[in-house]
Order: sequence, then C-alpha cells, then structure tokens
Amino acid sequence: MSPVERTRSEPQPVLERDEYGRVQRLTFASDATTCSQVTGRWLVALDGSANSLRALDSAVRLMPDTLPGVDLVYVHPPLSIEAAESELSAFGWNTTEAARERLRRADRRWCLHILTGAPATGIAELASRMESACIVVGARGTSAVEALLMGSVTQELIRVAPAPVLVVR
Amino acid sequence: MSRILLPVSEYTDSRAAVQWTIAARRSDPCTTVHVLVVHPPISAYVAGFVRHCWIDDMRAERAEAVLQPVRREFQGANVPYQEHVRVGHPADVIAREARRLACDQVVIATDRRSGLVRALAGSVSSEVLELCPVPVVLIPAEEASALQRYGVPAAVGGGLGLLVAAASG
Repeated sequence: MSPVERTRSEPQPVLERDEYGRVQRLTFASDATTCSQVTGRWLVALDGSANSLRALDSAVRLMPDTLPGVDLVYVHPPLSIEAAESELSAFGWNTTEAARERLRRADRRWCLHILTGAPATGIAELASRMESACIVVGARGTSAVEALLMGSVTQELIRVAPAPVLVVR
Repeated sequence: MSRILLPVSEYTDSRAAVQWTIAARRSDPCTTVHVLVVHPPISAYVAGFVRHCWIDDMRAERAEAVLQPVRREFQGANVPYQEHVRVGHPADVIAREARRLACDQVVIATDRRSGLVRALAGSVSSEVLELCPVPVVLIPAEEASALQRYGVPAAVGGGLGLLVAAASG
C-alpha cells in the first residue's frame, strides 16, 4: 500500500497529544502573535451551524474593542487515534470556514482550537486554561423536554463554566 | 451604543453581574444600563384577603433590599442607570422588557445546577434563555455548595424512586 499524498488546505497546526499519542488539541492562528499567551479574551464555541455564526457576530459586537483577538473552539465527537491523526484538523478547519471569513471581514485576529471529546467539559477546560473573560455559545433552541433527555451543551456548560456564558439564539 | 438589561433578585447573588455591567460600560462609555426588579404575582386567594397597600409596601421593601447594594456599586463606579420595577412572571417580564427597551444583552446571575434539577425545580435563567430574543450573559455563581451538588439531586432522585416504588407496588 503506497502512502497517499493528501493535499491539505489548512495550514500546519500546533498539536497536543494525550498519553496514548492521540491528537487531543489542535491550534491554528490567524497570525503568529495571536496565540502567544494573551489571557482575558472571549472564547466562541463553533459547531458550523447558523446559530453559532450568529453567536460569533454578537460576540464581535459586544466584546471590548481593546481585546487583541478572539479564541474560537470547535469540539469534534471522539475519533479513533488514526482518524484523529488524519482528519481532525480538516474537520475543524472546514467547519469553521465561515466563521474565519467573518472575522477576516471584521478585521479581528483569531486563534482556533480544535478539541475532541465531551463538548461542555472541553470548552470549560479550555476557558480556564486561556483564562477567558467570557464564553460565547449559540443555543439551538431545543425544548425543555429535549434538553432534559438529550442533555444540552449549554446547560452543562453553565454548570461547569469558569467564566460568564453568553448564550445567543 | 449598547443597552444592558440587568435583572436582579433576592435569590441570586448579583454582585458579579453588576461587575460585568460596570466592565462593559468602561469599555464602551455609551452603554446605558437598565436594572430590573420583577415581583412575582400574588395568588388571587391571598390577594383577596390582604389589603393592597400591604402588598405594595411589601414589594417596595423587597425591591429596596435588592436594589440597595446594586445602587451602591453603580454609584461607586460612577455608572448611570435606570431602575424598573415590574410585577409578573419573571422570565416573561425579563424577555418583554428586553424587547421593549431594545436591549442588546441581558445579564443574569445564575447558580450552578444540573439540567435535571433545573427542569424539575424551575429556573428563571433557563426560561429566560428560551424566551429572550436577545443574547443573554449568564454569570455563574462562585461554586455550587455541597447541598446543591449532591443534596438536591439526591433528594430529587429519592423522591422519583419513591414515586416509582409506589406506582409499581
């Protein structure tokens, strides 16, 4: 079997692996300086839906103009080691395409984090690590019964969040 | 120019929410702040037997107790604000006032409860999330107390268990 040369549309990310060698966290940045340790930024959770884009718009409108940029996070459901190695960055990069385009037009710098695993805890951990000033999520507008049965990411996030949570619908 | 609606109540600690509002005002000096106190309606069975002036007195006293610390914080930070006192179902009133005052964010303090407890015990902030047309910033309480984390779910679970036992037995 010859190795298939795959053309990547995304730039080379910064990788972080867990103890099994699985890719756990990827970081992309719009420019070299944005991701260097600046704390107190806003963290916007993206899932590729129209609502998460609305959340991003609200975040850009409401956050202080003095902030140097914005953190984006996309959490992918758990993948096997091989799939995480080959596909995670492409999944995250392609899903957040529209969001990055909007930030480029709004002239904001960004830092994109791609995680795998449970969304709420992943977002909360990242927020406490980046010392985010605010976490922004889009609510999908699930009904109370649905949220009770399926569990809503937002509900869970409110319970574990280390910072204020801005919910946009 | 942004408008912030800050509902306060005696049941949640609104200090962090007030601090958030002051910080938002500092980053955008054109921000106007509306502080809202909502009195839940009094049951007709009670209201029929109590003098209206007593009810009014009680409400005024409660609103005063809630607003006093908020006023002190805002005056200390030199932030102008408007006070609104309304009677009605809290989440409905908050959503309606947010629309009426054309606010672009609602800031509420919330405590850390799980989705199940929220759904069963009722939560104003969850209802506001469902009803409110504008972005909502949820300011989580410091840390869930041991009673809230274990006691309340245990009590709810025990109650449900008893119900199931009674239904099947």
